[in-house]
Amino acid sequence: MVHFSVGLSTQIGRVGSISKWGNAQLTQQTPSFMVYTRSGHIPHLTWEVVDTQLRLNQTPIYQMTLPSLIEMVGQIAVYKGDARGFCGMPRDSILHLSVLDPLTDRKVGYNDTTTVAIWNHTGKRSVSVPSLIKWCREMEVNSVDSLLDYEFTPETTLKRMNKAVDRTNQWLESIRCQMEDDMGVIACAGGGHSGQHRRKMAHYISSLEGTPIHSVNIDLGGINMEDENTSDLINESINPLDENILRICQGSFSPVEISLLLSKGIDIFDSSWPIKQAEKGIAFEVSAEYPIDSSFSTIDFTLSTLKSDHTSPFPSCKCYTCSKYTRAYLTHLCNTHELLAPLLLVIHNLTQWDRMFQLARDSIHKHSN
Amino acid sequence: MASLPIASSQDSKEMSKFAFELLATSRRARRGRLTTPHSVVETPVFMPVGTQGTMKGILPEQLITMDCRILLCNTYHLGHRPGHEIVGEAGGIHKMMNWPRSILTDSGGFQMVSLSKLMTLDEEGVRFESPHTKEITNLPPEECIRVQQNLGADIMMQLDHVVHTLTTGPIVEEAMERSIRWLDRCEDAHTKDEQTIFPIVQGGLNMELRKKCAEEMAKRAKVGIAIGGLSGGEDKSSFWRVVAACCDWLPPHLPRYVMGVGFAVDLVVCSLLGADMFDCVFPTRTARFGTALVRRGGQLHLKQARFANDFSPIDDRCECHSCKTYTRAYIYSNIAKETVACHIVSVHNLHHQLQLMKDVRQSIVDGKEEAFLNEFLNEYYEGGSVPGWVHDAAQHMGYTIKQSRGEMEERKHKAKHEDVVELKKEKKEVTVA
Repeated sequence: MVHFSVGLSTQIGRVGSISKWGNAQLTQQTPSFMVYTRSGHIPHLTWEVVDTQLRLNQTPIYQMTLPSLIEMVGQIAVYKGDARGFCGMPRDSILHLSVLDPLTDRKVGYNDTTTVAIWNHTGKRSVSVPSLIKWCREMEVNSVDSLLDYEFTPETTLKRMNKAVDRTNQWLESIRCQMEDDMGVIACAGGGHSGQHRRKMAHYISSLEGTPIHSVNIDLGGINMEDENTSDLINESINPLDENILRICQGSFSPVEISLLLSKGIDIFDSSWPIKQAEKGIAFEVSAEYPIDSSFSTIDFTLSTLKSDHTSPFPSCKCYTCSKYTRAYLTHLCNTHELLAPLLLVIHNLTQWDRMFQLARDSIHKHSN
Repeated sequence: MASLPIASSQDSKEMSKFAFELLATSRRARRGRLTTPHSVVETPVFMPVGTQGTMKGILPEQLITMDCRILLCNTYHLGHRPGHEIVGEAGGIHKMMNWPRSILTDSGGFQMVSLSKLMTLDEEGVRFESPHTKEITNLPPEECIRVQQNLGADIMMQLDHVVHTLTTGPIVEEAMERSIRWLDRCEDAHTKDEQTIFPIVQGGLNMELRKKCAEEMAKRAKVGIAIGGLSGGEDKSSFWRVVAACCDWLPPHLPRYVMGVGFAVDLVVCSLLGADMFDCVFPTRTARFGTALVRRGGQLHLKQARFANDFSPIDDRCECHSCKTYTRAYIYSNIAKETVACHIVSVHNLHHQLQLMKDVRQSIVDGKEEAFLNEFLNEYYEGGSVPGWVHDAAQHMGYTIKQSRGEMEERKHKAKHEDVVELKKEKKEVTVA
């Protein structure tokens, strides 16, 4: 169960508030983001570093990515405790289980009638409804994505796309029937580039009887955010849904893309984009006028241009990295491939991502007056 | 022992910023306190190595939480990248890497051995060819000090003529004599009183040369002194005998730094022999390969499948953050996949070394080193036999070891072999990077 209520809706976006997440109490103002994790930790940060050096504005929901955890679920099942304990996370962490990893490419052609294909370092793994339910119980997550058949490419036949819609809908029904009531099941609304299939999936979700759907994962896989009709495609997924349904959009989106999605009324995202940038040696900063001005600046520390620049990466940023280190030092760490480089950049980029959502919430409030 | 030279005014300024105090001694072992401009260092001390001006993914704040007081950084590496001028402009290495406590920089001399194919040497100094840019760098002693002064470490090491430990013949004596001349040139080039230079006792495995060198270097030493040219593949029997002899010859007011020592048993034996400072890349390097250091048995190779469902911490008696937070099973699942697994093991390994030295210091203060040595060896060799060289060293110091004497030094040989393999990999990285 997810308790969510919409506050204000504006052209820029909408603000809302979450009061319950699965079986956990949570107060979170939206728009916001789930904190991306891999193997049960924020990439490159031990929980000691998170605890001592990362300051976020709100209690996070951690996005647990199934491809990185699937090799560990057997161990977690034997371990006396849940995924939090096994991964060394804070005891009261709120966990959402994402079936797909937003930073891993999808390969089409492998989903079948009962399973969805996911990919990790061992290769392809298949996820069925019963296995997903079992893992949720063993890991004790607070919420989970329902399974989505993401087989939508420009080459996919109409027949196959119809099948994808039917399967996705059946899987949702099946998860809803079997899962405990206090588990937050996030319905998946996909459909790729096909407007009619997006509409079909969303209609199905809004027509469900029994316990109403409280949150929807609007899947944008297979959509190029720069295409002209992207906005219309997103509308196809959103329009059939009740306004009070929480809209989640998981994926690696830049600040510019996030601002577009905010204007569509998306409430929750994830932090895979800032992690990906950190791993490439890039730090970013958004404008103080975000999201009205959605432009952002970046520093690429793999270039040697700043090797003698002894100033803070972003002087106005209050994060650990910007307060304690210089552009020259970060350039040195990136050039020598030191483990500290992605660590410091993840701290900065996550702090900046958090600030970006605070700016978005403040801006929506300001522009409603 | 020869008397100290009369200190010049510059020397006394420098020496007023450093101090070494012996708090307790027990037989040969010394519990001391070294004060530098940046921190107080409790000795005997293990100094973790942050080669490139960073401790392999560990934040300085985490090292402070472990009560680490002093780090070592490598002059050769920092001189190439980012370059000593850049570190100087940044306000020195402490400021650049956000480390408020003491730092020691080596001279870059060790790379004469590890990168020997890229090096030529004469009386003037050393010439390196950069593996990164192929550029030729001249490193006379004066330049070595200029570079280290730009880096700004509390303790600088003299440029010495390093020959491989197993080298014999007249070159060993020549190198030793040259190292003395180079120390004088280093001191002449030394202008900053917030930094001090440690001379390095050389002389290979030849006791006569070592003695002569120890006397000459001790005359010139101001704050502390190093015993160099060991840990290069010599047999353990020669290793401990050289350390023991040098410690006997050196005057008590100088802390003695045995370079390149990092295995637990070596740290314990050398501390009891009267050595005060040690450094090694081993704890963090081995962590990257999934090896955790433990008192019971020495090492755990966490990549092994037997740890897949082992839900105990690396060491159930360890108080480090990793042991309080993570299981062996979790580390097993993530080693070589996620950098976090390296960080988890590195935190533990560094904590392990620092805790071991803390225990050594306490045993000296309590005058209970013999009991500590036995307890340590019993755990390290898991109740099995103890290598002959440890027995010999203990006997030399007047300690009785209860465990039997091992004919074969299997465990040590194995550890040594793995270390050499890893060192080769490391060298490759240096050459290729």
